[in-house]
Amino acid sequence: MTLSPEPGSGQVQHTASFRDPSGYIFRRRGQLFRQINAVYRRDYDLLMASGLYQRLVERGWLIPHQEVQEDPLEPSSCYRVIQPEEIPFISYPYEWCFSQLKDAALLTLSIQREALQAGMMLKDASAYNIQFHKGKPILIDTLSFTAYEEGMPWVAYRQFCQHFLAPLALMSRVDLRLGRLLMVHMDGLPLDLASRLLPGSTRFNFGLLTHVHLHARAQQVAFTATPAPNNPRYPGKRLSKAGLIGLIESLGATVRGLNAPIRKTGWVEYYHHTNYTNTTFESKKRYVQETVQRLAPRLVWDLGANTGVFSRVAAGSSNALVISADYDPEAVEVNYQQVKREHDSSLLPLVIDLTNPSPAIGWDNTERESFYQRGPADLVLALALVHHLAIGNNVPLERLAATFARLGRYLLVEFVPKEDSQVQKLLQSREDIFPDYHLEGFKRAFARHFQLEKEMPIEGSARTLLLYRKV
Amino acid sequence: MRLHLKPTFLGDHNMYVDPGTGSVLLQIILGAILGGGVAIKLLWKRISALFGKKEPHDPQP
Repeated sequence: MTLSPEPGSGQVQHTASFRDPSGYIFRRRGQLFRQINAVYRRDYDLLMASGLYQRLVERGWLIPHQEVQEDPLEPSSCYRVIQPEEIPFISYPYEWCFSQLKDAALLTLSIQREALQAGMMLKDASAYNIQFHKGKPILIDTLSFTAYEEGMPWVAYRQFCQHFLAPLALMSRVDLRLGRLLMVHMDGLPLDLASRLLPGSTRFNFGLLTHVHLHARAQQVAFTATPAPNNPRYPGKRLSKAGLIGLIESLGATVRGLNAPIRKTGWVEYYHHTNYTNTTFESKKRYVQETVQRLAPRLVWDLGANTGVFSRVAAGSSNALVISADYDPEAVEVNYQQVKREHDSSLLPLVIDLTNPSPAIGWDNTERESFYQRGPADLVLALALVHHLAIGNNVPLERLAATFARLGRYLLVEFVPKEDSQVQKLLQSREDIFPDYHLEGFKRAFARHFQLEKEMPIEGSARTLLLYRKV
Repeated sequence: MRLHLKPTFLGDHNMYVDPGTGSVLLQIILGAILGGGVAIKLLWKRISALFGKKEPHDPQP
């Protein structure tokens, strides 16, 4: 978690927690706190007194917190200090697969409906306020609620459409890979851009026609219109509660109607097309199990996890949270669907491209952390991955070793030699410029950063598993 | 065309997200259309309740 240091104070305000004047997150003595400002007093009291907080926490929709007697960071503006339950690994919408973003969207709408019943509403609908915790989405911003009065429109409608609906529509109707656009557009996809990129057929879908296409048009018309002198406020009673509920239901129906187009890419079918025999698979599985049981890690990064087969082996042999990262959004989609089906609370599938991992972005480049900043892991798994990086992406083995050394304390890596059919496939259409790509060359490159703890030839294959400890 | 669209609810100091003039306008129009449907649904719920028909629970996301 990125935190801006306050020299000498030993306490820091979170670098992404500054837009909402209602309060902010800060860290002290390694613990996470949230200062609630006096300006938010009425809304916070209503959230707690109305029973809304209790109901949302009971359903697992909102992060629970304790009110604590902790000195605030800024006493003059403070009303309360709370200590929220901490999320062990923060992920971002541009790292989620389609169904993760869809579930986050549906959760936001369910919370909005529940809030309305308690006389409140969501004053923001940022996808960054949702995190995946124990296998399910959860709202982490306790200060997202405000008192609702009949007539108020939903202030977060535009934000919801930009953060959720527009990217979901593009992923569903054009290509799953367009979810990555959220990395460029941190406040969600501009609706005029989404409207241009979506196929014309989406205009025959009532939800997409209104909430994306007409919404983009309305924004454009409003932008080009002359503002009224002194910008006087209009009388408030404009959107009835039934109208607001209708709007929320329409958004929900539109989101539910969008689905991930799974075409079974090469990656999703990977295990069917490789030369894995049952013996090879079982041998590899046993080594992973033994390693994880012996090291008892708390955080495992499975890089190039595909649909998460070995992530599940690791999760099943420990109490670790396993980040199951792959660059293919379809593989991650399949992985997440399985997490949902099995109610798996120890696996977090994420779309991460190791050749270009999520950078630090946002204001001052510190609002959202890079993928590597969220480490190191206790154990990194790099199974059937190295040949894709070293040969498929021309990364020298020394650089690979240096990078892996930054990511975790232990590394379980699979070396796939040139004679393996998967490497042959990578080399069939290009020149072999990798004279040092062999087990000895690999071990030489990794010896500069790691201590080799164990070498395990995988039965029924020419592959080798190597367990390294960082020096 | 002149727009008078800084709404009264923005007097609240916690409202830090710009709702967007066009987005507010569209909501008001859509609300008028969709609100009718909700009103009919609510009426239907009440009629169903009179005959003892149970409503399905709102599914979790």
